Amino acid sequence: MNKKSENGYVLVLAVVILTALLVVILAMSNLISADLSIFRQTSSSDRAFYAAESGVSFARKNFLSSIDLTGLNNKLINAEVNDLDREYFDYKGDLAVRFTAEGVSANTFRTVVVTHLVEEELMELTKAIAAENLDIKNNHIVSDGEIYVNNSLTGELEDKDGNIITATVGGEKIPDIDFDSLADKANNVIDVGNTISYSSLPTYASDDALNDVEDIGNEFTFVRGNLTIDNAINSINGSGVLVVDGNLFTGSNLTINQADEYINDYFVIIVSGNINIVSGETSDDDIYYAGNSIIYRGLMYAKGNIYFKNSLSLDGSMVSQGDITLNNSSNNSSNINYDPGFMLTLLNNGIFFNSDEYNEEDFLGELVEWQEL
Amino acid sequence: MRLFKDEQGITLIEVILVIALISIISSAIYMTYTDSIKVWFFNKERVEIQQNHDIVQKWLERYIRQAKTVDYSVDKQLTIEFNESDEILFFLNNGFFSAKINSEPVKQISNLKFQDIYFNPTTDNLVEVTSEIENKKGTKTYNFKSIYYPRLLN
Repeated sequence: MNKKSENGYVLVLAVVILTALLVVILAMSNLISADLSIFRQTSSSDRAFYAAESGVSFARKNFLSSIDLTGLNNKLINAEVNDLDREYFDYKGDLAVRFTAEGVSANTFRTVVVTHLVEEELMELTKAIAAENLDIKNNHIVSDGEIYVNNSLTGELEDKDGNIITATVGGEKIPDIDFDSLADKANNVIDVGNTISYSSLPTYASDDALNDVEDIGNEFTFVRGNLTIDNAINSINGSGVLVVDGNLFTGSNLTINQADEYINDYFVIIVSGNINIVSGETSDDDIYYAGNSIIYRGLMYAKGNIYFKNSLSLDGSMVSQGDITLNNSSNNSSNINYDPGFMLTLLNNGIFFNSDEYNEEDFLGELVEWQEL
Repeated sequence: MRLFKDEQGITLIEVILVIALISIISSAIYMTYTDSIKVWFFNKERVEIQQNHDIVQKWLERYIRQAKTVDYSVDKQLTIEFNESDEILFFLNNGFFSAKINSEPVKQISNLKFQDIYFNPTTDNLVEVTSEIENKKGTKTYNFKSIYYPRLLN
């Protein structure tokens, strides 16, 4: 009996010791895995942060280009840039760009938000009016902002107080733009032959967003051929872009972004043309012809001439590589106010004038915001 | 039975020899043991100090990076303005490194006491932080110096 119970005792002892060892091992592995998970969390949080930061640097380098993250993410190890947004906006009256980059590593997310001012002068469109020749007839135009001519200014411009404004003559360049690149960026390219009317544009648009004439104001539309803005069109509203690779004609009394709800919208019209049609005459000059009266907020750009038969009121900028002719400014109420707000429309639609002379990063000014979420 | 008779017994010398050997061996074992315990505690202390420094560094770097203004005017305190109008204050609360965001309650960040902390601007407008962290028993201090880069101030 004794012998038998002793044998059993050894077995029990072995089980007890094994159990105790098991408990100790389990406890230790628990402790270690807790430590490890803390370490992993910290290191993936760091990785995610640096990924986000590298995303911001990448966006800075590609300030003017479209952002493709594949190349960047191939270089990152154990982390990637999940999301990278670029947003242009008005920062306390200055044009600014905000990059939001989200980095991720092992399901840990970190976001960095960075805002830079944009060097507006590098956008080249810094004049109220810029043209080869500027011809001002009849009444003076009251004006805010600088006037630039390559050649000559005929007529007089006054500021609000009645002082005569002189134009800067020569020495600078009138911005240029490549129309083929504009066609690539447009939401709709409409190519139906010769002359098309503004009200029929939605019929030809391929993009579903352009269903109605009203939608043109917010779309980026590229028209090959001449465009006529019919007399029936009295207003265009929105922060869209209208490019005419041809001539543009407008009817009478057109208002652009004048309704209260469009006070912060700037419409951009960019025109190139080969035929001059003023009152039925034709010549070899390029022309952009505006009808009777226009009240406009945004940018008007023409490779050819800009001709106003009657009055004009402009908040923004008017640029022509040819000549600009302004006729009546009707009872002196017409204003030309330089307002760089149209640059937001340009940036949002990826349009740049003369950008190839600069590194993309040069467009970035002061760093004004750095947030980590 | 014959076996028993043949046994010679153990001489005194043998006993003394055995005792001496055992005492030498056991003292060697004891010394190794106490040394390893010492090393273990030393490492533990260093890890604790390092962890405290790391977590303090995490807080500081994050807010200094975002800083719109850095205020050094109060000794041993750092006030940072960030985002639109948020403010964070770093200071020693009863010796523990603590932070106060806007008017929220004070957050204790370190679980070890700091003997001292100094915030100074460098000549390049970077933020230099010198900290002296005490071990748990308060018998020793470890000194750290870190330099941070406020992105908006350069």
